[in-house]
Order: sequence, then structure tokens, then C-alpha cells
Amino acid sequence: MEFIKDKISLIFITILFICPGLTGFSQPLINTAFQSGESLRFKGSYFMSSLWADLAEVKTDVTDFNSGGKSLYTITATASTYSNYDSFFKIRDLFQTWIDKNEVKPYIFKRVVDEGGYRFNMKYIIQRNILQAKFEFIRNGRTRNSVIKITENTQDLVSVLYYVRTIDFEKMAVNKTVAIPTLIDDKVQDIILTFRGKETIKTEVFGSVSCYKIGISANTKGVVNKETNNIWLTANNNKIPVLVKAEIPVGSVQLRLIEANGIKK
Amino acid sequence: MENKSDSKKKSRPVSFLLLIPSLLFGLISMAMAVVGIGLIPLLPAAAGLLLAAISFLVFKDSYRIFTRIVIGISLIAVLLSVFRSTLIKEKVTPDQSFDSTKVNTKQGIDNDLEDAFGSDSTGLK
Repeated sequence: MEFIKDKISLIFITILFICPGLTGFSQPLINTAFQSGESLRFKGSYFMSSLWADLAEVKTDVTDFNSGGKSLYTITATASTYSNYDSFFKIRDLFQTWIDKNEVKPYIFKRVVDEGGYRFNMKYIIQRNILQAKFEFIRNGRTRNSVIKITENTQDLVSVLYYVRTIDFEKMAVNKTVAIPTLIDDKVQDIILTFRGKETIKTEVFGSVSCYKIGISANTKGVVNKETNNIWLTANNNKIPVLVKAEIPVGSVQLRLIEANGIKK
Repeated sequence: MENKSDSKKKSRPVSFLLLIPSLLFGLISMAMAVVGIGLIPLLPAAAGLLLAAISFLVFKDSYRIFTRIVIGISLIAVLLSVFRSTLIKEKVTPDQSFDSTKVNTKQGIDNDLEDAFGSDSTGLK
């Protein structure tokens, strides 16, 4: 069962986290990539011996959120197994982050997990002014709290995907690597990104499209640090993730974009 | 005549050892196809078909009817997985846990944001 959970975690990490957070960039961000109203839908598949199985769907939505004179984006990501798997291993995961619109930095991150009956709630309140995050983990009615030291560029598992979409890859040298500190569980871990150049990818939504290929690795359990873990972002201002591939101990997993709405013009 | 009979008797256990796993592969494949995990059920179906085919070709006189049944099950499993994966579209069952208002109240988020910003000096508006 643990193995299955690891695989599911990997799929999710691949989908949401993995991608990239190219941190360490000193230039101010200009968000030409996404806007409120953007909605992306992905199909998650498992591959074994050239045969595949479509297992789950991942959806992301960007909406406006106003509070106390502050204007933020709420990004909601959900992952759910298709109905025919629900009676075997039902997954209903909800991830939400509240980020500022310009710098794409998170202030709150919430995660509500139900994976085959394994349920927990997680919340980070990120206090950037004092570089710390309050962490709360609730499972079976028990609450665990801790405080995590963060850096200026620390992202969460969802915001990292959107943060990387604001990076200018055109000027980046091939094989350049960047580490992005990311809140994973109750600590900050680096996600390492490697820019691998451009490739043309055939997609359901955009047809054949030129993409940035970015290698992903992390020191997280379940994520294999191989060159075969990659994400492809459209090589335009939007940098929409169209494909994610990752190797796992038995077979591989893949996420394909199947629907995109509200794309920033 | 006796030699042929002896040979048939000797081949029956081997044939049996091929047909039982073949039958299991076929049944597992059918179960997987019914659940609908793409084309992956083709793998056990192909394994079952291979074993049954070996039994059928090498040990022609042993368990002839049973061999044909096992081959039939494997073939049905193959067809089932192909049709299941190509004709039936997957869908997600709506779930209340995905309604974020069930998880978050506006007041709760406002409070968390106030905590996050605290005496924030970023000037975020």
C-alpha cells in the first residue's frame, strides 16, 4: 500500500510540484504567463511495456481574491481518480495557494488529502516579513504545529509551477540548473531544474507546438533523480505546461494537457 | 498403440501446468479489463494465450476441450480490454470535498492572510 501511495505522490509531485521553480533570479518578475480565469485540465496516465492506463484527472484554476485591501490570486489544484478506480483506490486531493499577483509568492497554502482512505489536512501560513512559515498538520483529529524557516524565494507545491511560468527561458543557457526552495511537508527542500532546450510536442489542445523542456529532480522521497523526469512548457509568453513525464520504479507516469481555457492573451 | 497412450499420459501433467496459469492469466486479464485500466490487461491476456497456445500445439491430445476454453477466455479478455479502453470514456465523479467553500470560509482565509502579512512591509495592494 505504501508503494502505491508513493506512486500516487510521485504522480502528484510530477504534476504540481515538480516543475520548476527557478529561484535565485534577481530580476523583478513580470507576469505575462497567466491571469485570473485560467483553467487547465490534465489527464494522468500510467505506462508499462508500451501499454497505458488513464488513471486520474488534474485540474488547476486561477481566480481573484480580495481581502483587506490586498489583491491576490487563489490557485486551486485538484487531483481525482476516474470513477472506475474509485472503488479500488479513490483519490480526492485539493491544493490551494494564495499568491500575490506580481511576484508570484505564496502567503497561504492548504492541502486536503484523501488517498485511498488516508486523509489529512495541511496548512502553511507564510510570514514573509519574518521569513518563517507556520505549519499545521491535522490527521485523525490530532493537530501538529511547527514553525519552518524559509527564504525570500520559498514557494509551495502549487505556486512553484506558476512561478516557473514567469521565467524567461529564451535567455537561459542549455543545461543551466537552478534550485528552488519549496515547502514540502514540514520542511523546505530544493527542487532542481535543468533547462534542456526546445522540443516540438504534439498536443491535443494546441496541435504541434514548440516547447521548453525542463528536467526536474528533487531530494524528495518518491521522486527519482533521473534525466527522464521532464516537463514541457509552451515556448511563448504563457508557458503552459503541456506534458510531464516521470520514471517510477515500475513503468512511468505521464500528464497530458487536455483542456485549456482563459489563457492570457 | 501403448506407446502413444504412455506419451499422452506423460504429457498431461505438463499440459496441465501450462493451462492452469494460462486460465488464471485469462481471468485476471478479464477482471482488469472490466475495471478498465487501459490496455494493460493485454499483458496477462497475452501471457495466458501464449501458454495455452504452447499446450495446444505441443500437447495436442491433452485436455483438448479445456485448452480451447482457456484460449477462448484469453481472446475474450483481449477483446474486452481493447473495447473497454477505446469505447468507454473515463470520467470523474463530482465530489463535495472539491468544493473549496467546504474547506475554507472567507473569514478563515481573511484571518490567515492577516496572520501571514502581520506587520508586512511589502506594500502589497
